Amino acid sequence: MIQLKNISKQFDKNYAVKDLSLEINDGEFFALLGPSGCGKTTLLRVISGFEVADQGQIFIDQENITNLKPFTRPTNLMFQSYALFPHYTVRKNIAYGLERERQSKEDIDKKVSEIILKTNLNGFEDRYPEQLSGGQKQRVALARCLIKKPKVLLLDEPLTALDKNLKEKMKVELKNLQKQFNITFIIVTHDQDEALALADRVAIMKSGELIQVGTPKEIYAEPNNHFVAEFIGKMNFFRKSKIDNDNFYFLDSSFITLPKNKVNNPEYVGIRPEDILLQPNGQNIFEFKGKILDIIYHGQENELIIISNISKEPIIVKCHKDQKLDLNSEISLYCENKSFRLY
Amino acid sequence: MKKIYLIIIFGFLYIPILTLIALSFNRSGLPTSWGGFSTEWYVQLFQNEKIFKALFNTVIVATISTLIAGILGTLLAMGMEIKKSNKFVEATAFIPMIIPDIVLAIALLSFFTLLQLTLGLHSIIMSHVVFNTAFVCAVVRTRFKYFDHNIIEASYDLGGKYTITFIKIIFPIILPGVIAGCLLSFTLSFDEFIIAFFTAGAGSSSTTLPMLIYSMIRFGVTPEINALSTFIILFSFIIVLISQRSVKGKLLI
Amino acid sequence: MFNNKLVLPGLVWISLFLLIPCLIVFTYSFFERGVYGGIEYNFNFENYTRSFKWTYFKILLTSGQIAFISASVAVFIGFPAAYFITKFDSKIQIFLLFFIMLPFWSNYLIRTYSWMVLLNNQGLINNALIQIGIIEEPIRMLYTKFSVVVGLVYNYLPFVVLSIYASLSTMNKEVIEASEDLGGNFFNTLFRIIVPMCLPGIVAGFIFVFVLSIGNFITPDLLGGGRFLMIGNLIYDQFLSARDWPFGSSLSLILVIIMLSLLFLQSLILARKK
Repeated sequence: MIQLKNISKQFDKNYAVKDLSLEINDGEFFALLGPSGCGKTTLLRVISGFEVADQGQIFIDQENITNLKPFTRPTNLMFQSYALFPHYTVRKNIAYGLERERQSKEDIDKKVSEIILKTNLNGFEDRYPEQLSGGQKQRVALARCLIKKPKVLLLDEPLTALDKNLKEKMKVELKNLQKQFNITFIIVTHDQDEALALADRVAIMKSGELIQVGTPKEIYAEPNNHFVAEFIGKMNFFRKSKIDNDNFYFLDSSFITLPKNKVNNPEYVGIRPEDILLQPNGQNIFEFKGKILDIIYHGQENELIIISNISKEPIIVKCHKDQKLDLNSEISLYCENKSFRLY
Repeated sequence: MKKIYLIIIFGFLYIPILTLIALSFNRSGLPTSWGGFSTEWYVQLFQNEKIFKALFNTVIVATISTLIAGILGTLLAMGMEIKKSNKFVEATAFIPMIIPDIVLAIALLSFFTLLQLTLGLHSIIMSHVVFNTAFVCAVVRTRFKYFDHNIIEASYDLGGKYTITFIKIIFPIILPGVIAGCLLSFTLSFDEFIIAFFTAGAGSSSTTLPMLIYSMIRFGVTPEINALSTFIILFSFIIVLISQRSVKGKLLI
Repeated sequence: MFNNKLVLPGLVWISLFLLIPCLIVFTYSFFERGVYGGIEYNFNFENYTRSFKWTYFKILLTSGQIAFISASVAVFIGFPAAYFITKFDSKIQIFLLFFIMLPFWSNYLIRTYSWMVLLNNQGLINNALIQIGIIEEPIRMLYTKFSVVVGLVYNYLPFVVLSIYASLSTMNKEVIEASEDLGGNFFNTLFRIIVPMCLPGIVAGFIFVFVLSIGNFITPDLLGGGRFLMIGNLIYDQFLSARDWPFGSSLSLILVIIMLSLLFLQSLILARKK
């Protein structure tokens, strides 16, 4: 179990990480997600020991590792650029970490061969990094870390540099490796698809602070503030024109009833595109009309851009590819009251 | 057109050199007339003790100053590339390469005189280290351009402490640059005249080969000098060829 | 994580054996020559005003003149050489560049001496011309400004070619083709497109030769006949014969200032280019 307690790190007067506390469980696949500059990479480097926190402590399995240098920490980091040693073969790259532990040659050779099989690198053992493809380099970087059996494996934007197909493949491989080795993985990424697909739990960061922590499902379905709602998935936001104790009023004075446990004076309601339907379905339906401004084709599903009476901003609505719709036609839209979230 | 022009240029560059080589085999030793092929001047050259003493001195100076500069320059380059360097460091590492050699020469003479230091080969060596360090540093730094700096952190992460990381990771990768820098340093030191001249002091025991050549040219030209020149020309060409060959594969990454 | 103690040894050495000596020279330049050749420590600007007297100022101007001519000639000759080299196959280019640079690696004194042999009244060139019958009496070529310029150009030409070549080779060939396609003839293309685009290399080469020429000692000493042709000779003399170290120091300082100004100018030109 990894515990981060009140970690703060400043660079020149600016807080890269501000009083951050977090607990990560053993064997979890955990993601730090956020836009560039939110401090996630700094946090990663603090955990791995390349930056020293100005304040705060780090515990791994009750042991205080805050002041340990990278060479003695039970963590390993997979770099975004892979950082393979260019003058060593794949085999020597992987063996490097064990050699530093002064294990015997026979042991090392055995373990290296094992992990080469597990990471699908057989046949490439004697190649040099410059002779490898991006995906192969990544597997070497992973193998190099995994072979040391760290308590925590940190991955810095592991999939960012890969093309779409390779990304999908690597997502599956990463998940499998994590389960196989049963090591806690912490990945840092700005890509929400990656985070939601891979992680057991996600922490969203902004400006050095934790905004929300939860499972992908929780975060997607119940973003607890405007930032998260906008950052994860797509969200339509409607600004209030008026609000009273019971109701939230849209631009054209149509309204929805507020739930009893409303947030004090919400400024917006938000609703996911897939919760706006072309047919009424469910209970407490709210209906409104709009005009189709544009249709965006995505293959299986399309997106409709709709301009409506209830908002100045265009609304995004999802529809199936077989739906017959014309540009500039009028359309009725329905959603359940409970699909609206308040911010 | 391009061929003609380049032939003229190469002619301009090589005729002086070829002239000296030809003269060294000229029995009469003068450019005025061809007295027939002879290796007489080479024989005389090999009997000239002063030249051998000066050559020996020059080799000592070049070798020792290169050893020192190789270490200082490599450390300097590492410090500048691995961590951010500031303007003062950059300037200090750069100035020795651009300062006119006569200015450096008189500055060092003034410095040594003020300290009342006796002059000799040791003062030449100390002086040569100054510019050699700057050149080694510059050459080694170019090697760092091809260096993903993350690999140093990767080494720490995998358990390699500072010394091991240097020996196993950093040094092997910058080695071609270190070798090239040292070869450059040796050549510069070997050929250097004016700083040696000012810092050698009186006394013939600290005369280097360039100093001897200068006095031969200025004060007493004997045809031996053509033979000596030929030797030196061929020697430097061979060094360049060797360094090209040995460093070629590794440098051109 | 490596502390910057790494740079310390090198920095200390250079500071001790270059910065401090230069500081000493700087200080000396404000003092006077003592009666027996030592130093009298009274602070004044005498040395500097003296250097503006015609006898000395003339030398400064001559140095600038020779340096300027040498740099110009080197660039003028070097540019076509670099240009033509780029027209060859890339393997041959490396071969050509290697041989252009090769003379640069042999001893400076010897390279300069070879021109003494060639330009001498009894030297190879005069001999050849007399033998062919073009002239009857030898032409005085050695120990003139001409011979100094020849020596300087000879010594620094390889670097100029390399510098211009570096600029040319990073140029986009398609730009030249575009210019020709739009109707530019050879000279048009040359002066309006190519030269401006490889200006950094040309400027670098020019200033390299200028800076190394103006502070040069060996070439004007051997090829200029030992007179006080250039600053380098004057400084040498002040430290060895005239024993007026303070004056020599002030001259050195002036030389360094000229040099730094040029380098500063170069960085300005290059910055504007970007």
